Amino acid sequence: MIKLKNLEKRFGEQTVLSDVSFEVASQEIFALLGPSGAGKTTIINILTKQIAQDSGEAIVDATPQEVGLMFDVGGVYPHLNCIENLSLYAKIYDLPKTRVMETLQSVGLEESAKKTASTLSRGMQQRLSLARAILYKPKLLILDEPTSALDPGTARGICKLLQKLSDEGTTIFLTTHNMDEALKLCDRVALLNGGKIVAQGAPEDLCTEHNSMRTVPDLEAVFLKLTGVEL
Amino acid sequence: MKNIKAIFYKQFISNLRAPVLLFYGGLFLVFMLIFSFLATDHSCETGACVPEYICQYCEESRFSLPDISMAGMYMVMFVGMGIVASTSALVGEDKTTKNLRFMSMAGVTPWQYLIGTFAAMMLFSTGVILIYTIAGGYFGLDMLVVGGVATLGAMVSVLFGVTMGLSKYPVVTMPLAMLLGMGPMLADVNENVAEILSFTFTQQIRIAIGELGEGITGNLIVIGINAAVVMALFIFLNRKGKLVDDD
Repeated sequence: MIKLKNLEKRFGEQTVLSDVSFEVASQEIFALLGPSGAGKTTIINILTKQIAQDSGEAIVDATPQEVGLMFDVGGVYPHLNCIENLSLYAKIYDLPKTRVMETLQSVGLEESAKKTASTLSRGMQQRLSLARAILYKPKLLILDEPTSALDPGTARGICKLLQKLSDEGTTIFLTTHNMDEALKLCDRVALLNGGKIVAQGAPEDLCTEHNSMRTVPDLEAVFLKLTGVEL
Repeated sequence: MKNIKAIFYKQFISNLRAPVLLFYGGLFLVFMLIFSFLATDHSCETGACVPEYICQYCEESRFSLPDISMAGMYMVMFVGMGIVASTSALVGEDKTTKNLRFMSMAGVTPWQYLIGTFAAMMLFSTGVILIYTIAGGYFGLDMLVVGGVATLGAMVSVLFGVTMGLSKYPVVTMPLAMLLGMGPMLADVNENVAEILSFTFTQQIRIAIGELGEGITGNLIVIGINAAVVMALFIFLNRKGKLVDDD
């Protein structure tokens, strides 16, 4: 679904991505892990064709219309209610009106459908943002820090929903610095630091390979060992 | 067409829920009514006089205000400042909530966005302008001329607001809006300012309203040129055909 090969990106004199290569298979849940400023959002911008890479290949087997995108903040109009927020995209994607309520139900917001987004809690706004991203059943879902600043319960709820979407055939690409979430949710991960991929593979394989199993797999320890940087 | 309809509907609802445009319209209308009352000599039977005073320097009789139309002045402020600022704010919200990017990915083009936003903003702007013309006491042919010229100016303002809102430098919108909205007020009392601002559409609206019955062809030509310049700017800034351009 996604193939990045020797990707390079510079902003002026600063190199933000250097020789980045990885692949994401169809229906896979893949996470890009790294600290702030590692280049995660730049990769998302390249994947969604908002910016172009300076060199290398970025192939996405989906048109922009087939990609669902969600950011950690924003994405919802605070003064519109949940239905109105989704209706804009239901009209653009030519979807039946019933799809709006179906989607709100899938993220557990059916009872808040007529509430203004600004009156919803942060977790509910996050779910509304996810609802907008999955409204048109995208082939590929790209999520930038989907559970950042959420309470553990809400984060678990979003992870369950992502797992369900993956089971239904959606490919999910997400960025996070929540290692625990990546371990439980993802089929594969890539560790990104300073614009370079330092390791990639199945989370448990990475932990085994870098002796970070201890009592439970510890991706954070792997990252620290490989980069010297704490997440 | 569905994209334009979707944008129009969203901007229409946004104008109701976060009524920045209507707020500007209402605020300037109240100012207009208050200052119209204050600037009129109520001892005059016709109500057409403005208060007179003796200048402390030349000791000659002066009017306290130039003979200006308060309705015209505040209508120009609404068109030049209120509409530009509120349109830009509407686009700014689409941008800051990242919805502009989602729309772009969904295939919405800058033109579709412009037309949808333009239609919604003009619906409200025309309504407010109609209220101003009635409140200003313009009826019959005068209403057509004043309302028509102001509506043409509103079109330029909405186009300008969308263009600046979508640009990489929306921060310059407010100073320019202030110049467009308040400049003609300064032009009323200073010939040099009037000469410089005669190239702007808001000053032409001001002149057309102030000199009713003297023909508006020249005013319409300048407003048309302003529209063409802003349209050219929109086309140039959106030449890549993408609503969001981070390159």
